Amino acid sequence: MKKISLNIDSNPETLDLADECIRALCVLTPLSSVEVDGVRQAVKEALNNVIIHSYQGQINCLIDLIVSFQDNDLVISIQDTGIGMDPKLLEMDRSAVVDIDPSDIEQIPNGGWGLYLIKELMDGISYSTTAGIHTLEMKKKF
Amino acid sequence: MLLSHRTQDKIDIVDLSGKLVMGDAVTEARKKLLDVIKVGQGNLILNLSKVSFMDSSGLSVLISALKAARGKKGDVVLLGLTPAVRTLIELTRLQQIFNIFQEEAAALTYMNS
Repeated sequence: MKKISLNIDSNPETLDLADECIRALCVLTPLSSVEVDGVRQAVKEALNNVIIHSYQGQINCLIDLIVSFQDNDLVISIQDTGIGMDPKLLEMDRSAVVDIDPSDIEQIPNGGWGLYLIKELMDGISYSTTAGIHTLEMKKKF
Repeated sequence: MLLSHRTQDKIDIVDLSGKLVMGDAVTEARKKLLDVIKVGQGNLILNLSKVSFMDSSGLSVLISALKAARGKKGDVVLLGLTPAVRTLIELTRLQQIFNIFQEEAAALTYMNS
């Protein structure tokens, strides 16, 4: 198994660097350009969630981004030590987010799209906490 | 993120370029768009043809602008979606609430109709 770990600050302005790393690593897989864009989007959304929710906007906290190639899976783990996320959020039916009534736009949420996008774009997602370290693991098959 | 604003036939047109993502870009874009809608007629063409990437924070900017415009009996239409942005709009099914055009002339005709 090939694996690489990146340590980044919880600063939105540094996420471009993480994105470039993900893009470059995806080149090592047979994923199509559309699928690669989807992986990049999912990682961006996951990192946003860590910064906004787990670290509550603090910009100097540590995020570990671990990318590995396991058989035919690209596995991306994002670890943080913030307040974490309620794992039940992953079990919720996120289709309600996009169940839009065009005649009533006030009901459309301004936010909360990130988890929905991650679930749509990736083939598997799990969340766990061990010894205060929260891990969101996302898989993309290739 | 770069923004420029112009008007034509009382229709506001805002051209965005770069990445519309969480951070300063989203903060700046949200403020600018809401200011334009507040001062203008509430009819806005949002040119995204040079937006290379957008995240869900960017989506929230579009939705906020649409709600503000509809609050003034106006509308926001999207112009020139790049493939990445189009995919995001379609994944979230927001094409149900935004009219989308590839040509500015067509967007202006729609807004003036």
